[in-house]
Amino acid sequence: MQLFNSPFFWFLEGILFCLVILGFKVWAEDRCVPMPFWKWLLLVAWMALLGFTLAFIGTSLGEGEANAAVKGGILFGIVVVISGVGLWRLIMIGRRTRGRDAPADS
Amino acid sequence: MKSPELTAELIKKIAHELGSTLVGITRLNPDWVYLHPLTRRGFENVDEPLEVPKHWEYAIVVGTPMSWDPLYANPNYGTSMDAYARSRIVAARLVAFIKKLGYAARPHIPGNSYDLMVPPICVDAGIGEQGRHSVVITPELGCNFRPAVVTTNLPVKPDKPIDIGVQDFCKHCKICAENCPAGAIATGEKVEVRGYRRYHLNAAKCNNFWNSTLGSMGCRLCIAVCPYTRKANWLHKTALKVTTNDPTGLSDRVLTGLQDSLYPGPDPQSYYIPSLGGENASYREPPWWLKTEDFVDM
Ligand code: SF4
Ligand code: SF4
Repeated sequence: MQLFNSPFFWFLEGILFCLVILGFKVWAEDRCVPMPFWKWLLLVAWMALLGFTLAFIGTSLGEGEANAAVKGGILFGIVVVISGVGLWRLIMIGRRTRGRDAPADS
Repeated sequence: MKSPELTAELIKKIAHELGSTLVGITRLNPDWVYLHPLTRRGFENVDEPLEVPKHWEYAIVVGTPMSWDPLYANPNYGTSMDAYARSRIVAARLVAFIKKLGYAARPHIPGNSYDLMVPPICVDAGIGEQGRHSVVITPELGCNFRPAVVTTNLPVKPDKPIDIGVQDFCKHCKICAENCPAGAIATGEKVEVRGYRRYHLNAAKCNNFWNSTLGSMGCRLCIAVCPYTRKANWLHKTALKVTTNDPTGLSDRVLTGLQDSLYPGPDPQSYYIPSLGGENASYREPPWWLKTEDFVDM
C-alpha cells in the first residue's frame, strides 16, 4: 500500500496521463479527427470521471469497504460507460475520411 | 504571561507536543458544571451542590481518536478507553505544565473523574459541532475522538465555536438514529433542554444497551455509522467539503443516500446478544489482531 501513497506513484501517474493524452492526439491526427478545445475539455472531464471511479474502488477496498467498492464501482462504472459512448460520438463529429479529403491526383 | 494570545498559541503547541490531536480553548460557562458531584467520585455527600471553584475560568479541551479498526468493529471490539487513556495523559501533563507556570489547573476526564459536561465545552472551544447523536463532530476526526478538559485560571485567548454544516446535515441524515440498537437517538426535531436546544438522547436506553454488550463495554455504533466518521482520505474529505459549501442541502441528501447504500450495517436488532434476541453482530469485521480465537485456545 505504501506505493500508492508515495510521490513515485504520482510521478508515474503523471507520465502515464501525459502518454495517454499524447497518444490520443497522435491517434486523432492519424484518423483525421478534428479536436477543437471543447472536445479536449470533455475528454479531460471524462478521464477525471474514469480516474475518480478507479480511485473510488481502490480507496474503498483499502478502507475494507468491499460493498462500497462493488456498488460504487458498478454505479460510477455505468456512468463512465454511458458518458464514454456519448463522448465517442461527439469526438467523431467532423471526422474526414482520407479518401474523400485526398486530392484527386494523389 | 506576556499576552493571552501568545499563551493560547503556546498551550496549543504544548498540547500537540504532549500527544493531543485536537485542542481548543473557551471561557468556562458555569452552566456546563454538574449541579452535584458524580457518584463514585469520593464525595461524602453527593446531594450537596457542587460549587464552581473560582479558578475554573477557562477550559482547555484536548482530544485523541479511538483506534479506527476496533471503532468500526463496535460494539464487540471497540473501546472508548484507548482514547480516554491518551487524552487523560495529555490533560495530566498539561496540568503539570500550567502549574509550573504558576497557575491553578485541574484535569477532568470522562467516564468518572470529571465534574462537567464535556460536549458543550467542546462546542464552545471550537472543537466541533454537536450532532444528532449528542456526540461532538469535528472537522478532523468526525466524531471518532474522546476528550478531556483542563480547567484553569491561566489567562488565555478563547477560540470561537465553528460551523462545519453539521446542524443542516443532521436535519436530513438520521443514520445514527436508524442504526442505534437501543432506539435512544431522536429522529425528530431539536428540543429545549434546560434552556438549550439540542436533539434529545435517551441516556437510560443507551446506558442499558452499553451494559448489555459482551465486548469491551459499550456501544459507540452511532459514532461508527456517522458519515462524518470516515477516515480523512481524499474521498471523504471531498464529500465533507461539498456538503459544507452547498447551501441548497441537495448534496446532503445525495450523500446520505449514498452512505446508506454503500456503507450499510447489520440490522440494529442483531447487535443484541443472543439471549436478548440478537446475533451479537458487529458493524464491521474486527481486525485480525482482535480475533482472540485465532491466538488463544478457547
Ligand atoms: S452508543 Fe449505541 S446505544 Fe448509545 S446512542 Fe449510540 S448507538 Fe445508541
Ligand atoms: S449519523 Fe447523521 S444524523 Fe447522526 S450525527 Fe452523524 S450526521 Fe448527524
